[in-house]
Amino acid sequence: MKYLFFLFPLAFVLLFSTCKNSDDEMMPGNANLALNFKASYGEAPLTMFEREYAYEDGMAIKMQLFQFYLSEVRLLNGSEATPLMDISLISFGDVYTDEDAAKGKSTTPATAPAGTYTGIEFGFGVSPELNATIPPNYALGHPLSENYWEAASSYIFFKFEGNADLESNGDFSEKLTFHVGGNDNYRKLTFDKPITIEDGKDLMLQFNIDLQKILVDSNTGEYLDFRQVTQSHSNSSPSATFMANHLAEAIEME
Amino acid sequence: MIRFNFVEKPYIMKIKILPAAILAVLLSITACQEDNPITPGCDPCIDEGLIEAPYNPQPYEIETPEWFPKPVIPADNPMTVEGIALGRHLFYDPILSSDSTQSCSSCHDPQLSFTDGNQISRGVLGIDGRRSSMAIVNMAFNTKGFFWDGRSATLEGQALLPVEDHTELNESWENVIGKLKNHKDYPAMFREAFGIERKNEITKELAVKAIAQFERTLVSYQSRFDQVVWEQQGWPTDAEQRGRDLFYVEFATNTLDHPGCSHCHGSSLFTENNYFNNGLDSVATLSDFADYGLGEVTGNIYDNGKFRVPTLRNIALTAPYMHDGRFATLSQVLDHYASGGHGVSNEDANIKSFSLTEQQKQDLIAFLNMLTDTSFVNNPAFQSPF
Repeated sequence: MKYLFFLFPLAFVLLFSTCKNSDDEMMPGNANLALNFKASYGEAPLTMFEREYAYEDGMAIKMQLFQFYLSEVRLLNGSEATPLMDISLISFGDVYTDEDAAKGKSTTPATAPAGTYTGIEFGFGVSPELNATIPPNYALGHPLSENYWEAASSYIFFKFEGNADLESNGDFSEKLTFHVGGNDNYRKLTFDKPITIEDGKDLMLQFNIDLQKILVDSNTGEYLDFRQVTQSHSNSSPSATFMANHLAEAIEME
Repeated sequence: MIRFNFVEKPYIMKIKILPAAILAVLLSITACQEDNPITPGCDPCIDEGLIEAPYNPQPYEIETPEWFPKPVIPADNPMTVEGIALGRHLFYDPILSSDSTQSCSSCHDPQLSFTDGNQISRGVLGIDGRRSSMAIVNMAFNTKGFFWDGRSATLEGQALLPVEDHTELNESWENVIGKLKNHKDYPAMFREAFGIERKNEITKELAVKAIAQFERTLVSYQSRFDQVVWEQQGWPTDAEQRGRDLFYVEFATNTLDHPGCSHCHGSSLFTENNYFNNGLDSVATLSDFADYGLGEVTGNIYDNGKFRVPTLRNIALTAPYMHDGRFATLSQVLDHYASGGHGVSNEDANIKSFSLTEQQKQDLIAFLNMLTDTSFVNNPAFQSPF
């Protein structure tokens, strides 16, 4: 009789093990790797709707949406590049609390070969190659199935939307909508930092993105003046170029 | 070699281990299968006899233009000619209502791009519902929930709800299924569509699968806009072109007041099925909306007052407008958007006031009229089969 106690566990082992999808198996020598982004405005976590962020010259802003595409994520080993993922959309639109902000937003994990790397690179925005495609090229739900400017033939690489108080009177009625696209505003960023990927061990690389550094030049003090401009929906506007030019400073790898 | 020490009663060991081993194997095999349909009980027993009809379903592929995304077809509800035919019958048949006076089509008239022309839809009891009927257009391309508030994740799930809603068809599915089982045609149609063998295998799940299949065929892509812009057949009028320039925000310069319609009504579908507070109501707090919309579903206060963005295809046919049908005309809709909303904290940032001359308004309406697809509303395959 006592051997039945061994047979029933066997039954359950069979029950679960036979259902395992082969796709779930990680090939030997690989690991899952994802990129996690935490957004901030200066020292404060970036949350939607409630929090007020002091802006330049007595102005203040509140957030509604902050999102961006990452393209052509590659692990670097000297001059060698290992492709990790083609495209990912990171959106902080549902980050409402500090707790949400602390979790950050992650890419879908990709399979990476185990090994030691010297760094990682990715494009901020949609790479020119992918930007030549259109949403119908993708299944619904794919990151590139939306956020497209039909008439400008470009994806919207980056969106920042919110409200501004221009007069320090608590009135946040001025709405801000800055959308940036176009190949000229695509930026490739490289982070030289040793990365070790162990066989079968999931890894999350941590990045911080500071919106303040996109809107305000920390060296010159130049900033987007919301009293002058509250929207940009173009590939070539000065404000779009200004923001694109500050991305490299705004993103740090932990 | 492993030796078992069952000297005294070896036969007992054989008898007890064998069933356990069989059980193990059976469990391992059956656990990986989809839930097997369990033949319903026979209470009350209507007819246990076989349905006499062929089962030879013909696969159906939705015809879409190259400028549309690929339709999303659930793996557990592949489209067939027979399934669509059944769904079309169910869609137009008042058998789904408690007093046999209303069908899905009562609130979704093809001539009105599958809306009903009423501010608020009214059900069989004469009671008004809460919201205006939504157009059933290009449903096969929506992955972000159905109804104005997104409360159904799938089209099948959507089709389940109106039957038992007291403000709509006010019938129980149990009664509907009973009526379908006793119907002279439906048992055969269910067999042809889904291969069931007996009447008691007709279920509400199969009924809504059929309705969803029919609804997924309702694809509109042959408007004048499609012909002119995508197929390069003909030219827009001056008014249409000016309206188009106003509609697509990417033509705007930084300083130009601009309607920016394409923010929410982008893509070749003229919606990405996202949810926004489009500035309709002035409320003191986010808890003061008369209709919470998406917030009622998610429980998230920041979703209060948000509703799914409807497609603008056939928009000229679907008055009145908004989730509560408050605007009778497109002119009123444009006036609303030009006013810039009310500054409620979760009001979409793209709702900004802009100047709109009467000429510009007429230009925008001319552009919106380009989206009317008469071949869609008059498609014989979409009309009542009765």
